[in-house]
Amino acid sequence: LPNSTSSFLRPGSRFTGTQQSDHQVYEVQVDLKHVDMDNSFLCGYLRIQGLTDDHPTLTTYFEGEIIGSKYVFQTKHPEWGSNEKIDMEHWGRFPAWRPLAKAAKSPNFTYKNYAQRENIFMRWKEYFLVPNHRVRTISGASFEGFYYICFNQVTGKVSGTYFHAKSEKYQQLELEHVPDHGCMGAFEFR
Amino acid sequence: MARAPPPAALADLRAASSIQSQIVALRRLKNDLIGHDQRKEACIKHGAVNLLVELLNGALRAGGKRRRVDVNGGKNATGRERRSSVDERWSHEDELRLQCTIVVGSLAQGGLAYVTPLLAGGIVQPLLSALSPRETPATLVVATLRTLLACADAVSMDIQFLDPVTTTLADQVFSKPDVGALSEILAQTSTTDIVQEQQVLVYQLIACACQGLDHPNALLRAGALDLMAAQLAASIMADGYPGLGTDSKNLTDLPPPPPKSHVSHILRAISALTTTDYRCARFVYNPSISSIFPASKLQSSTSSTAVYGQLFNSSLQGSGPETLDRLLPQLSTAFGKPETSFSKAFPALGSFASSSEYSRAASLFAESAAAKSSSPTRTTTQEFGTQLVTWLLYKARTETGLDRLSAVWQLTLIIKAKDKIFPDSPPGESGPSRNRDRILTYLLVPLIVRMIEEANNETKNNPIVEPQFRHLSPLRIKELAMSALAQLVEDSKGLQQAAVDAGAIKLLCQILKRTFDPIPDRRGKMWTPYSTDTNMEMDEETDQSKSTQLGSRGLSPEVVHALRCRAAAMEALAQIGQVDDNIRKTIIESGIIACVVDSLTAYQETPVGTVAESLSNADALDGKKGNPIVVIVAACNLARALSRSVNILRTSLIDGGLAKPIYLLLKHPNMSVKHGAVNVLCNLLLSFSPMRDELIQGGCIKILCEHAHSADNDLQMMSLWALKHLVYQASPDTKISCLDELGAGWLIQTLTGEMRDPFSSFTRATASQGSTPIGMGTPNAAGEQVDLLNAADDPTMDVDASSTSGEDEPEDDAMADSITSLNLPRYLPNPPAVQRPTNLQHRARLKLIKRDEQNAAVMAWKHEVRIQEQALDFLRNLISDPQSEQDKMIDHVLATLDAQRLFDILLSKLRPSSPQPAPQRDQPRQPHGKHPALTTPGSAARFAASATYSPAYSTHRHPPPSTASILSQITTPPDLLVSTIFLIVHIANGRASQRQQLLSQTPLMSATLPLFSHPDRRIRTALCWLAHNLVWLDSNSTDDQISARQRARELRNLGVEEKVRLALGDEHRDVVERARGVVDSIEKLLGPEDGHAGGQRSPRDDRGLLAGRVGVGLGGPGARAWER
Repeated sequence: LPNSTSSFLRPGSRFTGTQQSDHQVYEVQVDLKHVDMDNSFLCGYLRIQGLTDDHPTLTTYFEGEIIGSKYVFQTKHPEWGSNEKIDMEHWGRFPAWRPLAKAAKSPNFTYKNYAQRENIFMRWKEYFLVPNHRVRTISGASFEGFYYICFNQVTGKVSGTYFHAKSEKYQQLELEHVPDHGCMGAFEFR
Repeated sequence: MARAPPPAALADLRAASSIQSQIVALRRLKNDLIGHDQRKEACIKHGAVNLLVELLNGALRAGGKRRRVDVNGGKNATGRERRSSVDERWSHEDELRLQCTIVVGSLAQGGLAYVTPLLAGGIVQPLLSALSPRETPATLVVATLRTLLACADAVSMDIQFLDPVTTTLADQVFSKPDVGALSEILAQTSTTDIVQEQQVLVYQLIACACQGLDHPNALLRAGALDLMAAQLAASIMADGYPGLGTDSKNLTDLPPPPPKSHVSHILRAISALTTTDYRCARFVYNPSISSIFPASKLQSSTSSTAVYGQLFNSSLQGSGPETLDRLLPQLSTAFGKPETSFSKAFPALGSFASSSEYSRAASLFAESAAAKSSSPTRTTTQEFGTQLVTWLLYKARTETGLDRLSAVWQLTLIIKAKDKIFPDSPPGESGPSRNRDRILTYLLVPLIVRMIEEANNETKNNPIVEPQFRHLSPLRIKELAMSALAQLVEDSKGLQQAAVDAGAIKLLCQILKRTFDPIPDRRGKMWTPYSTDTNMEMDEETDQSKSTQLGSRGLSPEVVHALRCRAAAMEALAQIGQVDDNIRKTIIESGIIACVVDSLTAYQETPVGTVAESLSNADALDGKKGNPIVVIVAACNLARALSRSVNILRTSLIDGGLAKPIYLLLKHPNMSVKHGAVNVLCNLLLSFSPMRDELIQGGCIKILCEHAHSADNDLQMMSLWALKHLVYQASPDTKISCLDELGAGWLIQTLTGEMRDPFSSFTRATASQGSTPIGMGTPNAAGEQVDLLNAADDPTMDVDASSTSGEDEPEDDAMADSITSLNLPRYLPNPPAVQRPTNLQHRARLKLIKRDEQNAAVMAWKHEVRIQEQALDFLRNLISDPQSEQDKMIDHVLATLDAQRLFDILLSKLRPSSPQPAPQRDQPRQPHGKHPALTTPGSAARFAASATYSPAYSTHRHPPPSTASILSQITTPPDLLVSTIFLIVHIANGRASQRQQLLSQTPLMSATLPLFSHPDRRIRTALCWLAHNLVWLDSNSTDDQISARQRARELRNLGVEEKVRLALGDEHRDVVERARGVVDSIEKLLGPEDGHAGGQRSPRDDRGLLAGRVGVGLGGPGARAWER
């Protein structure tokens, strides 16, 4: 598999939009840094604005696991605090997922040819702050949860739902691809 | 205090007037010296080396006449007769030489410090003249070999490269004409003890000292590889394994089997030669080897055909060629299912191996003997194309210690070359290659990890009893098993995971950390009444030359072992962590970053050399005080593997302080170190690396540009790769200074290249030659004209002509020559009459592998493709950042490089390189399904693969092309096209005038048209983006509208619009989406194709309409294949 499937899901792509909670809307920007379809992996930076007064902008490094042959719809990280019921609840909020709902509940279900589907499902988990990865906590902000993501390869639209047991439920992420006119840097790990 | 007086025997020797008295003095000297280091030292300091060289040369001159007689007279004699006739004439000169040689050997046993002056004094050449068994008595040959081996053994302990003179030993031994003497020794068929001793010493000498490219090539040309392969085959045959070949003709031609104890020595020597694909293939395809291990189908395109073959064999014959497989546990095959679907099978029965050997593995794999004959779902090592692999696996699983290691090592080399040697399935497809991996995953990888573990426990608990020769030390098992693991898992994700599952990471990290622990120096300095200060004034009778000074003592064997383990453990970790981020994280969590950073420290330079010479054993283990090159390179490789992760770059590597040591290594004098450092730098300079700014400020632009201008191809390419990352999203100032430093002229020159067609010389050569192949025919022993390597019906004979275009010496020729001139026995090569059809294919494939590996034109072409790709990407990254005034940077680049020149270059990349008319001479078709195309292996070769000359169009679907037709189908590699088109896409993303400038390059635009149907979808996507940018409307001002309309009209006139509309029916969705955007834009500007205004329609409406127009219906979402 090449390390990009479309003009949108590739290293260097940028997406902007919002994260919406019940009473507030934050501006969000996501930059993909590395996409490795072979390992069902991608990573990038997530920048959110206005979350706390002390830090007008916060950027985190996140990693995404792409649902497919390697990862199933059930979250296999107990430390992320999710369970199968929560998983299905959150996936169920994506219209594109509903046709899959029945099959996805089987623990052995693998989402075949995932890279070739119009919609790609992922989990995005933030790990540390950028630029200073040693700062573990920030008052008024937390990145302990993770996002359920539905990525549309045709339109470049990203929908997501944030989950963390202690955070407000169903915070909604909506991003659109920033047009780049096919201009992308040439960079590749050596 | 005073200097030690010279040993009395040395003075006697110098004073001796007759040959007899010289012999007496030498015998005394010998007895004085053995085991007495101080006397050895005194001897060296008092000029013993020069004296010994003189004596050896003198004896050579005196004995010269007899030798010439021997050469002529002994030509047809058998080894035994020849030797006895030589022994009868044991002369005083011979005795003198024998005693001299033993004295030299005794000095050499003292270690590196003593060997350095011996080599500096030129001892090797006179020794070598007593090596040919046709000219020299057998006992003298043995003594010479022992002495050479003692020297080589001492040199092998110099891992710090203390003195350049030490590298000259092997250069002299393994070059013409002396390398021929080694082959003569191996060709002797006598089974007497003394001949066998000679042979085993030759194996050891090769295993211990043969390195690099020149030594193995010289040995290959001299026929040594074929001789050793025949001996190995004879030994295997004598052991009577089941299912060996039954080609009686070849069996009788085998030499007498060597003693069993020789087998692992032979394997080690063969391993020293088979370090490249070509030489490895030469071994596997060797006639003796392939006749006892009958070649399985070279192209069993699917695993099911192999299974049918098995069923056929087992049901009809009972014991088919697969019988050897019964020595191994049986695995079930992977039939297109992911690895996880592997079901655990039944316990193993019916095996030859001991039950203890099995008990550990039995639950994992194997199936019952009853199921075996009926079940079609077991793998066999036939998947590898030769039962040689089976035999080696069996050896590896049943032997122990160094014998096991020798089998594992050879197996590893064959597996590394397997994609070239047995190219029966494209990499990555299910089928044979998957089953191959499966066999290695379950049978080999855990075995190697266990070997490392056992060796680690042994060396931890017991003091090692050192053998006479250190290269045979049991310590080597640990070092080499780790290296074998590294080589085996390289390029295979599955095997990397298998190594992790076997517990390799914890073990390797533990070993790595322990190499920094201090080791008590057992070799304490002996008290001496004499000054040992080498700087003290010399006696009158000694001179200052290097032959009278002791060399550096080097490090103790334990320290050398620790340093080698350090390198091997890091190398293995680097390969295991090649691709998977989770594996990398596990390695990091083992806490080895500090070890890696310390290992990146080079020895300090001092005015007289490096600090390495004066390092004590304790200091040598302290990584911070410096490391041997082999350790630094391994540390660079591990750092490179770990830095392939945004996460790790941003956390562990920045915390560990990786940037500084890597930066310091950029200027290291050693080329391998430079390669290693620049490779890491490529990753450290990525835009998301937190070390980037520090490195740029440190001045790495200048160093990288210098390296890019260097004469070393690899360094050029890597440096440009690093610079490409450096300028991406950098400030305009950084970009401009980098472009200036690199030089517009240099860039233009690099981009232009010579772009030689590597095969034009080939086709010319063939055409001028007519149908007569170049001189392959050589008279054989009986005086017949034998074309050893080319039967008259060889359809690919003309490939040999390519040897004229690059290589200095075709080995095939040389081998043929050496065989005839050596008067070797008949078993060596197959006479043409008995050549089986597979041998023809073997030869055809050998030629391809060789050309791929050695042909200068092919290699130059590959390099050009690689570096041009980097150069184009460098330019692209200069102008890729829309935020920072992209159009100004485009202006700058176009002005600096001269726009017209750049466009001409880009055009030359897009145009298909003028296809060479294939030589349409009478070419018999290849046997069906057996085309000799090379497949390019795995991920490490990714960029090399992009530079491959094999056609972009899959060769697998078409009838197998002949060699010549493959060569004629050269097209520009897709990656180079992608880089070219994307650079144009970026230029088109500037301002309107720049788009117009581009459009006015009519030939360039026209050259894109045929590429719209290129099989690589990245190219089709890029072309749509290009069209998209060319019709882009900057603003809604009237001026912009007019010019955009003008450009759209030009695209229509050029035929681009038509191609884009066809792309609406593309099988890849991304291309369709991009094409739709372009069509919409054009229609908005010009109205629909027929000229009517239709720009107001929404994209949704267009969708069905446009699809209908090109006659391709669009399915619902997801119905269309996203990826080809």
